[in-house]
Amino acid sequence: MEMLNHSKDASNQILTRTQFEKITDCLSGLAEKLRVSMILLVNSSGQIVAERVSSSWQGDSTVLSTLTASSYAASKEMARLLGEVSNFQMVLYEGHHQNMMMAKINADFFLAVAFEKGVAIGMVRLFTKKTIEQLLPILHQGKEDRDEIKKIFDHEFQNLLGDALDRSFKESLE
Amino acid sequence: MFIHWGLREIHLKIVYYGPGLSGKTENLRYIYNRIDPKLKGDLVMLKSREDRTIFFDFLQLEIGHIDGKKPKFNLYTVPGQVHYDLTRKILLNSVDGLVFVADSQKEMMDSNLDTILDLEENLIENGKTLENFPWVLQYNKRDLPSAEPIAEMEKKLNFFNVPFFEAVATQGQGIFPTLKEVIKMVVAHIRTRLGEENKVKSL
Ligand SMILES: Nc1nc2c(ncn2[C@@H]2O[C@H](COP(=O)(O)OP(=O)(O)OP(=O)(O)O)[C@@H](O)[C@H]2O)c(=O)[nH]1
Ligand SMILES: [Mg+2]
Repeated sequence: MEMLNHSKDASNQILTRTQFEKITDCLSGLAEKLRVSMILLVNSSGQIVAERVSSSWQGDSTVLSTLTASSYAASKEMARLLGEVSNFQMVLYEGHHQNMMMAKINADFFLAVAFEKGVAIGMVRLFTKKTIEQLLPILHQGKEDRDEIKKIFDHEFQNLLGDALDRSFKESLE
Repeated sequence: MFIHWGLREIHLKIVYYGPGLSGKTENLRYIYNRIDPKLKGDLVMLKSREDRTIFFDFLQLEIGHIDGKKPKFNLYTVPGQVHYDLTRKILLNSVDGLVFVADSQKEMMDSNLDTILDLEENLIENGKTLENFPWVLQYNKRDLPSAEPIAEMEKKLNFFNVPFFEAVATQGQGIFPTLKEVIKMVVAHIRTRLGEENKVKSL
């Protein structure tokens, strides 16, 4: 019998509104200190928890977060093959104009920070580390809450979802 | 499952699994081409020059607000080729529902079965099992002359009696019914797991 809390992976997380606001504040703080193009806080399965994106960036953050999460998951396997016990603390991509750093928060979450080539990597590392220290206690509260999930997946939701699926997918066939 | 209550979003992850060339990518491509543009994001395909998936395909679907909540379905395909086993494991992380895309061609029955066994092994590592998990079978490539009769495929592959769909992914046949069913099963599964049936009301 499968049980929620025995699952090895980071499934079934709930993030509350309060947590979300606190996290967004942290990311804003980081964005003020560094000239970043984009900051994403992503969970291990690729969903964006919070983002700060500069107005000049035109990309699709949903897709980017999915790609960073898979790449981050692949890094973890690389780390393992190299004899590390957990994922790399930091993974850096260097481009001609943009750099991107992925930094581990805990087993379930990481940050992806993109910044212009002119910004010193040491600064990014320093401030990202500080931000992670602020984020850790906030994210720690985001564990599974059965009662909350129960309320969300009530009978009404199940019915309405069925109707919406019929509608959305029927329209698609026309 | 990931619930972003700040944004009222519910994220569910559906993975298309199956042997190489069975038509997993074709499923996503068809959904992407046919669904209302308002409901979909970009289709990401990480593939080789020969069009084989080397990491995954990804497509996010929405269906608007439901009862004040915003469900989002994150669809992934795995690479079917045998040597991408580690990649398939990574993609099963946090999976909520599965579509097993089987290749109906007679000569593919062994690799269909091997891949189901490989899937079960990988699920067990994640603390899950096919016996008690929301998943459906899709018998794809029904248009090919060498297609095995459905009754035979049922006998060989459907030992847990899950819902099955006949499909021709290249023509879009059976694609949306498959997806609809697996999503419904995911939600039903979450509700049973949480014992919602015994509760009278909520919210
Ligand atoms: N005749 C026929 N061909 C199909 C059907 N579905 C897919 N194909 C073809 O089969 C080939 C492989 O399809 P893909 O969707 O790329 O297969 P895949 O499962 O993603 O393969 P991998 O990425 O290697 O795991 C393509 O040439 C498709 O056009 C079908 O229903 N009928
Ligand atoms: Mg593919």
